[in-house]
Amino acid sequence: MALCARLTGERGLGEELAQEALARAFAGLGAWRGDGAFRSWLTRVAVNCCRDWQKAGARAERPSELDPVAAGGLDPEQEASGRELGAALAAAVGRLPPVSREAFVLFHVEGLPYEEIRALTGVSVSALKVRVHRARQRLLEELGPLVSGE
Amino acid sequence: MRDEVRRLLDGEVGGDEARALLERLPPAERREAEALLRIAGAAARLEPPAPSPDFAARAMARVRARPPPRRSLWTWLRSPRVTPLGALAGAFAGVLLALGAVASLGRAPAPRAPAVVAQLDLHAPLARSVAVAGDFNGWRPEATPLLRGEGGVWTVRVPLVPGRRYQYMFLVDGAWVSDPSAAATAEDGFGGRNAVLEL
Repeated sequence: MALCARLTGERGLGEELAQEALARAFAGLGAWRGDGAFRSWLTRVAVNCCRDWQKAGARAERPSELDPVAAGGLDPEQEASGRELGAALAAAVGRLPPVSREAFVLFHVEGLPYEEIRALTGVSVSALKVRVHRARQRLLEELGPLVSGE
Repeated sequence: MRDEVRRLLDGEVGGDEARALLERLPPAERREAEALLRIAGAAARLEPPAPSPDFAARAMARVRARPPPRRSLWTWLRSPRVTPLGALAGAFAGVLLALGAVASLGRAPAPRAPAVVAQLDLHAPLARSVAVAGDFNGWRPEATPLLRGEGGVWTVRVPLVPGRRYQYMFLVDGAWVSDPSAAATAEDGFGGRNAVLEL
């Protein structure tokens, strides 16, 4: 559920897609060959659910539900804390373009190695590295004062 | 950005090599690399959003609404099924079968348990397809479709063995439905209840 929420940037939608992923996984258990990690297979089903949703163009342009900045704003003192860095980062990740967000979430949030992400998404490792790099740069632009250490 | 900094951020460089790399960067590039490392570190520590209290119940409801999983013959044939324990059990079963075959030599074959035919009905006038899955057909709804009759009542007759207890569910247009006329029900392990038929 957390993965779907991160990939979509919306908690409620993430729950819906996670439920759909579980239902798809159950109905498609016969497609699991049993020769790989079940978690990886289930992750692939969840990623595909989120991708299908993206392809359907169902996402209206609106602030992320994981977005405390848009929801009410962070004051400077809050921004100074590491906890608020996490909240601001979660919100900023939700605003990334979908392909960059997917690569960033799978690599930096889920901690999957590039080779495993390639197997999950079908995107080459070199392309994934470019997407993750662009995501980091975009996040740096958004979160600059929070992470500059000055 | 330098390739070596990208490699650092991608986790391909660590430890002393990473520190040495940061130290030899010009100040501006070093600050940027350290800021990006903070982002990567914060991402790895992000707390997962907590699911709603009813998340599991809603997920299971959606799972139940799907047809049960099926394995293709090709997948079944290709998948490994023999485990050491399974092989041992198979060998033991083989010995029992051999002993049974020897013991039964010269004896008349045992009579088969008599079967009764039970008729299952479901009133579903708007349904396009109805099937039933249960203990009697290996929970394979495709094996036992119901036929639509007058008044939107779907029926099927299934041979059952007296003295046994069967659980079953209807599959109506792809959604699992309990038999509303069942005399008894039992937990199905998915948050719902199977109909129970005792003969």
